[in-house]
Amino acid sequence: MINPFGLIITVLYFKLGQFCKRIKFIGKFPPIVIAGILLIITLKIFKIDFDKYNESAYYLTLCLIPATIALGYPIYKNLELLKKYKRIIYSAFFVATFTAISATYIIAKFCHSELNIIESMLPKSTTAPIAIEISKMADGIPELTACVVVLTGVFGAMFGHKILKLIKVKSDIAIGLSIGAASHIIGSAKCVETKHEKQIAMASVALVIVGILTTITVPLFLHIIGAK
Amino acid sequence: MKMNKLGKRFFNFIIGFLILIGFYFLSFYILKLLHIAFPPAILGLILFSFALIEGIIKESWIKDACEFLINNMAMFLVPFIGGLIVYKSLLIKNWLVILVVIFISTAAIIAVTGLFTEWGIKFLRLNKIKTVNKNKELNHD
Repeated sequence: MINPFGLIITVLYFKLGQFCKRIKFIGKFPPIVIAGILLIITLKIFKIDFDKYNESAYYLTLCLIPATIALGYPIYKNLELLKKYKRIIYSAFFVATFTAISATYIIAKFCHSELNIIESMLPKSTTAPIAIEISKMADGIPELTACVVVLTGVFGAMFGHKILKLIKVKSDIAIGLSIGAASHIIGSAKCVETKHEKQIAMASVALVIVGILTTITVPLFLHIIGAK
Repeated sequence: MKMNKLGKRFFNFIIGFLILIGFYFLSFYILKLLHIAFPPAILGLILFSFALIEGIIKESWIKDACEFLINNMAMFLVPFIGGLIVYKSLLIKNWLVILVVIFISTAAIIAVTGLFTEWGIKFLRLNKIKTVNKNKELNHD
């Protein structure tokens, strides 16, 4: 019989994080950040071994597999929109993927970081389950990838709309697409708050397709630069 | 009656969940058979989208499960954040680089993609207006 403590505490903290949405300052952070910080504090204070915690919490992370596959549903839902502007939207997906990978690599290289850290950061604009798969495939560190992905999402959710306003991007399709492509599901949640139908649809499609494109591009990219 | 409805929803949820898992195993064995190194979950996602679009799977079968999984995706990630404890020294050594990379590259992706799409849509609309005007002129002649 496994100890269900890890599972219960994780769900509890996440629900607490969702509840914090109503509080003024803390409400700005997504529930996952609050839950993550609380979890780390708990593990530290009670000196709980991570492996012991993960014994049951592991079953929660297993749910990421069906969750990844479930992302096909938003594509099906928004097929009409995809068909309408197909040329621009599809080329924008390629632009986003290319910018994401090359910008990450160039800046990381400029900061002289080690190869396995770069490899863990390359898929940071894709949604977490996809990013973790890519990271495993590229010999990165999945835990670091998860953290980087979450931080990217939080950054995009907090500043994405402001950046786009600054450079005068106004159409809902462009806003949804760029935020979905750059900061995946956490950024898309911010688009849901704006209640613009097209923005939500574009964000959810962008995060899926950029994820798929990145999966194909990262190994190719590592091969071309000669890391593999 | 109400209980019955709830039971039906639960049944639907289980069916949807099983379909999603089925797609995972299908793509897992396809990749194993062909000896390709590719994340099975993502091949599953591609196959699943095609099956939905082609109508092999009905939307009502998977709707509940998909909505639940997508809405709660962030919760499944929390254990990974806890896992950072194991990589504490690595993080302390590299936190500045990681933050710099995230800030600059995310801002760059948002700006580049946003501008590209915005200009693309404007260009398309302009072209459409031009062709419409041309047609009008031709009609007038």
